[in-house]
Amino acid sequence: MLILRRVVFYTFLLMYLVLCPGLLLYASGYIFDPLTREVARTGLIHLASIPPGAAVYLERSRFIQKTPATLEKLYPGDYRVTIDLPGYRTWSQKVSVKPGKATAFDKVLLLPGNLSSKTVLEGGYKQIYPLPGTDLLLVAGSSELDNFQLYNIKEDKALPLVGAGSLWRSFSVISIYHEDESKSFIVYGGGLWERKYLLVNVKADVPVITDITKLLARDPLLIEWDPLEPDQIFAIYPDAIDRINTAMAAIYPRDIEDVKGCGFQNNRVYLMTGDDRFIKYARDKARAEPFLLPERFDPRVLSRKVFYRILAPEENRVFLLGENGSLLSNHPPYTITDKGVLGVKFYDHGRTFMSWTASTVAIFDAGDEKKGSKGGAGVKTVFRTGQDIRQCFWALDASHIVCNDNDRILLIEVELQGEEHSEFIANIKKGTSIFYSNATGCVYFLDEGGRFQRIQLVPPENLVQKFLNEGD
Amino acid sequence: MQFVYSRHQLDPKERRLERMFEMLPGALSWSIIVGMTVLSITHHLLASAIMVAFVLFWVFRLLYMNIFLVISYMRLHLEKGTDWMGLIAKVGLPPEALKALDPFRRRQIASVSAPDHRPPAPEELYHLVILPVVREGRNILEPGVQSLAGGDYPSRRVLVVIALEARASDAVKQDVQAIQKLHAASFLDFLVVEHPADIPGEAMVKGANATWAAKHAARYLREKGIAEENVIVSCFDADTVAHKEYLACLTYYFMITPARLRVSYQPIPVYYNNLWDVPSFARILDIGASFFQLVEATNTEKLVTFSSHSMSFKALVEVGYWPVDMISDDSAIFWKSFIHYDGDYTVVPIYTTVSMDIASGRSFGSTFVNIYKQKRRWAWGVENLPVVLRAFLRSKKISVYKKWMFASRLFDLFVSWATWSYLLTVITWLPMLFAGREFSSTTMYYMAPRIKDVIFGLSLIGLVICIAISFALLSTSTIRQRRSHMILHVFDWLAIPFVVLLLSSVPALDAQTRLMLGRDLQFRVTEKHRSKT
Repeated sequence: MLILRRVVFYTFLLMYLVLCPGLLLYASGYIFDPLTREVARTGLIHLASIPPGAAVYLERSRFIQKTPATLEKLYPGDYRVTIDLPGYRTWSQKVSVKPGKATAFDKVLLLPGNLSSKTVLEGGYKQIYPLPGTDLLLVAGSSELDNFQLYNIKEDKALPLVGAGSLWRSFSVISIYHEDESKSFIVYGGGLWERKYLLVNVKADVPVITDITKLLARDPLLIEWDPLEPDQIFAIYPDAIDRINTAMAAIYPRDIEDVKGCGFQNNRVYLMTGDDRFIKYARDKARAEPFLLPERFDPRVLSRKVFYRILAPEENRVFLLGENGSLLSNHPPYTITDKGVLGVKFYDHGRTFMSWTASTVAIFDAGDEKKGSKGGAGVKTVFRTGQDIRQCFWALDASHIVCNDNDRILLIEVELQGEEHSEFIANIKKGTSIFYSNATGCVYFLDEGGRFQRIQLVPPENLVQKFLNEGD
Repeated sequence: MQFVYSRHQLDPKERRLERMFEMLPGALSWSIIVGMTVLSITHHLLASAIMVAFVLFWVFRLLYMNIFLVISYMRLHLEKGTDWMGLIAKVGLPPEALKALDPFRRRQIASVSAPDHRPPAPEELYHLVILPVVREGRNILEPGVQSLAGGDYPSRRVLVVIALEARASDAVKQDVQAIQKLHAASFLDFLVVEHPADIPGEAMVKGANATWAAKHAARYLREKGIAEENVIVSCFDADTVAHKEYLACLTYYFMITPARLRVSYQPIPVYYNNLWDVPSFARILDIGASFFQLVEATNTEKLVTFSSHSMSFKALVEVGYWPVDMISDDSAIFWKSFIHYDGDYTVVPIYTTVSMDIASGRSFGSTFVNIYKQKRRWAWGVENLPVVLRAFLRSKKISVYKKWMFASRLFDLFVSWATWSYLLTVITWLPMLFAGREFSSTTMYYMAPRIKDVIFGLSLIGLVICIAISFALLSTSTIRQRRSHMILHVFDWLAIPFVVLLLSSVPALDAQTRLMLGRDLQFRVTEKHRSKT
């Protein structure tokens, strides 16, 4: 028995010693080419579509696998990959395969061939005002509050923003201030000689409107607040910040002075002082703490005349969005964009964000900061051919971006490894906004006739999860 | 070799050395678990490659073990029903009288034909069976006694000693007396030896009780004029039910083993007494333990005693009986003998079964807890490792090969016990879970899970073999089983990754951690329940 054990043991050992390195090399992309009798290092392409089950083509060859599919043992080079599912738009990409590398398209969204819109509200609407982070948006038939509808996305129900007996029915809206995830917003408007600021709270079933004009001594540069602390509003002026307690109708003029930038998050106020130091303080503690950054901002990139918004502050990192459109970081690459940034939207608790200018959309991934220090690879422009980009929304777990560009809706693929890829969705009424809801997967807009419409771009969240699980 | 086995009687220098060795297995297991977890989070590619290599290694080892599980089972199956008493009668006969036997048996019997290997005559041999009791009632103890009385071997040559703890309850003591009264006439004698509590130098362990009883039996045997070398001692658990062939088979193997006094005899432990009375997770673990012993039985070079087993009484006396302060008396007695005889001590597998109870409780939760504690106690066998390493360091007579073989076996056994399940069920997926963009853009990210899936698929072969052997073993047992039991039993196996992780790996890691931190584990009698039917 012992001899048998030894024979089997050494046989297995030998097999292991041969198989194990072979498997590791295979997993690293190495294959033996019997034709050339050489070992070559290959790459692979992974494709997963929503919905799954689409045919996969590599150049002109159709693969037996359907999505999700992994096309392995591909020699380095450029390939044209096509995904085709009857009833859906064909998706095609030029993919560069590199040795030992995988090029993954984890969430290829296949759009229906006939992308039809559904009318939500009939009538000639003029504008929509998204309230991101909530299930609500405002649909305006005119500039007067009387013609504003508060539309609940989840319930697919619209109600007038002001009741029949409201004082504010004829209040003419000029602009709306809103913070993501906040259930209140501030409306600025009124007559030419009687401009007002109204705080509208839509937390309850019936919106509550409060006139806070007296609490705003002059027209601020910005009005901001922390959604977690909606009673504390900060009116930002070039030289100081007024703090307003709306619940107590109290104003604290010049509460914060000598500031070059500010941000409000998680019950904390983050400030950049005139000498480029950072401090933070909790309102309830009323005590300032230094906000230590291991890497200070390069003073050469900070402008003395520009006011900055502090974005996504963390213990060792902040981003600054200047009013001139510069986007800066205290980590490499220090200057993400030097001018023209119109908006920034975060995903994944600040690790990833997109920023857009009138013509480009770029993605910044904090996971790539280390790489960025070597070659600035932390930022990737995913769309360069915009004409007049005004709004952008994350879609499908940040794999796509829904974009309002020059009165048309585009769906941009966040593809960091392939070529730029966008799909036209629909034209919208000139100069109006759009809104994309991750909860419903629909984009909401006014068509050229002013009808409030929606298009289902992405299957609802539960269905997406089902598709992805099928993929696994 | 003169060697102080007990760690409580060491001089400070030896104690420091042993303390260092005590820390090794736990430190190694924790290093693997923490190291691989950290590596999976920080160096995904490397961790993933290591896990591919490990999973392949694991499946090779699984298949390797399966081969010997099948062989061992076949041997068990073939030896079942052998006329052991007939074979015993033939030992010592001239070759021409053995012609009717198959070549295998002829070879076995011929191996002791040399004058210095010649065995004692069968009528000179006696069996001493020690049954330690502390809280086991009549329903647990009596079937074991009956199995000895009703076996193939003449029970009048069997001395049964109930090693009764003085701290046992009156009810248990009354049960023991009742059993003694009822069955004493069947045996050479039936002694009840009460082990006093709180003897200095002893811990509350089974070994102390068994040693006390064995010393008492030694006096008894001397008085009766029975030579120690003609006595085979079996130390069973109170719930052990020996197969009716057990003593006959043991006697045969004792007789045909040339170095019979330097050998322990290891049967295959099965846990069938209450198999269908316990939850599936309890069942599957102990069937796994039986399989492990079946596989180990084919590895006679490295075999170590486990649970109920037998040995020469002379050797037991010479090595100074079981350790009285160690929990793992079953394996400790092998190591004690191995060290005492300078490595000239082995274990011979005997292909017959002893059946025991699966640890259980009065509820699902208490069964889980009891099993956890029992497996931790089994895993506490790691306490032998520092003693063995210390002995290896001091001994000049034990060969380097044997030192290396057993030291590596012990490390392999205990470290794999504590870590493999965690590596296979948790770590194998971690690199993918924490994958950053850099790793997720490599071929390894996509290929490693697919390779591992194929390997895990291959491991199903092992699972199927285990299920088949499990059914085969069950079908040969005497326990009653319904068809529904058998169907359910297939599903028992599906839970094995989680059961092994929670009730085998974690208790093993717990035991190693306690030993590493210098915390003792008090012996705790495992609670067992059987249905009355």
